[in-house]
Amino acid sequence: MFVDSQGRGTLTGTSPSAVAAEGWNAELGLCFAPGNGKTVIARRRHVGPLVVQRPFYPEGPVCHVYLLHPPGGVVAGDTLGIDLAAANGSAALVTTPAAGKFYRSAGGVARQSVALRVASGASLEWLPQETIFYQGARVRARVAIELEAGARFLGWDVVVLGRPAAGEGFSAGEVGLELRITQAAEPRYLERTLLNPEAYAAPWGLGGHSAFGTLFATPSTAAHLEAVRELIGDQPERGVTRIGDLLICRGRDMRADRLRAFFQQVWARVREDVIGHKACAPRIWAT
Amino acid sequence: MITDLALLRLLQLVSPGLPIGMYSYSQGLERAIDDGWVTNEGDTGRWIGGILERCLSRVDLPIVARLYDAWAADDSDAVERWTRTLIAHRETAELREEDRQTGQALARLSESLDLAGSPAWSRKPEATLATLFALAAVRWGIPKRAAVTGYGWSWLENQVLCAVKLVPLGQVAGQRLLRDLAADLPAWVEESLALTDEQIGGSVFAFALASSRHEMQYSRLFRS
Repeated sequence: MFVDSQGRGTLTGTSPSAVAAEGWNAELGLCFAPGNGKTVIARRRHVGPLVVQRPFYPEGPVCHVYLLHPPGGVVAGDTLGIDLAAANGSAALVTTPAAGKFYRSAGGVARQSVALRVASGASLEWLPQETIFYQGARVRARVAIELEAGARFLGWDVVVLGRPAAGEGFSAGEVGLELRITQAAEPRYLERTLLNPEAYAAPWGLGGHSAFGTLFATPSTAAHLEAVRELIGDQPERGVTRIGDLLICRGRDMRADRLRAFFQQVWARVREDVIGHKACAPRIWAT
Repeated sequence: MITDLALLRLLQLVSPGLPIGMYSYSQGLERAIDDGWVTNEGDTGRWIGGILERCLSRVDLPIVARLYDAWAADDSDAVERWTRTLIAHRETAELREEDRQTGQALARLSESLDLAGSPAWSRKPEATLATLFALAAVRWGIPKRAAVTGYGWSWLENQVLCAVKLVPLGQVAGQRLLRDLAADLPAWVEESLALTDEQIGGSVFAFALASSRHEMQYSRLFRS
């Protein structure tokens, strides 16, 4: 159900058909493509309460998009689907104005699926604010990143368990996270993490840290690995590795904002080489 | 049932004396100890037990079983496919490099021991320990469950030996850990053999973080 647009996104209302028997079903599909010297949203598919604002162009050709989920949180039974595709020659940066929230479940499971497809000669940045899983949440979340040879990608995933500011940990609940990066249809990097009270508390899991996250950047060089190692220095709970030309940065923290600030530093350091544009932080990050 | 000879072959295959350099890898444990995440016998048991439950039994063991079936059926496409899948589950450069080094070392050794199918793998960058371990198990007539259990034991023993050296722990503490952790292994093997292809996968966050941090550790004894 792709609908052509001129790349001028407007806030779209909720479609009544989106209310499924067992919960909200929201889907958003965007296809970025080059047009008139800048990247535009060439196609859009949209169901339910997941919307995108009019794109910004704070740095010329790169299309900056804010993804909104107006209900503000997800409950058991809900399904969120996000599908972003960057066509050859396009450059897009997608972020969110607020943290994603998954509430406590009475038994059912909430699902989120994110598909990011980057064509050869395209770049995509997926830089959402953190996702908060409330204590007692039951969620299955999946991120599938499909890269063609020569695709440029920079993305992160910051996860928070419980609400530490409210004194809430994660002594109940279960969150399954799956991440797949494929290149030319071959699996290149696979993660499957089960977060439950044991993984939250154990040293091999989060060791009681409420926030953890991973940043990916490709193509990267040995110089980027060195630069991020220098950035990390003596900081505890931060790590970086490089598999082929895929840079993978990890961290856990008692506070999600500190982890996000660290990832933003890494992003600022490598963005020009990886994406081809100097770092230009979305204004929403400053608020 | 396992024949007496197959049992002896398995003992040879899982022996720390097998010259494939296993003893030079700590799988990030060296860094976890350096960072103070693992400080005593109890921590060590919980660290190794957590990785055994969440990663080994959900990635390595089910894939060793599939590689075993693939070698037994002479299905080289499946051997290649499961090898690539296993590598994709390794979350740091260091863990992948370790697999390549030990995999190629076991391939060269297997070639010297006249195990059919091994020469082609001794130069392949995508060789993994599991690929060649499964090949040796099939050629030596070791039953699948015993082979999978042996692979798990071999990993477990290596991790405990690292901890004895690095925490450090006494030899008796090391043996206590092996006794207790091995008691859980048969159940994890059972579960790993029941996983469907789609269920394979097990990330342990601090395991990957420790390995990433080990890569930048200034002074270290182990290669991973």
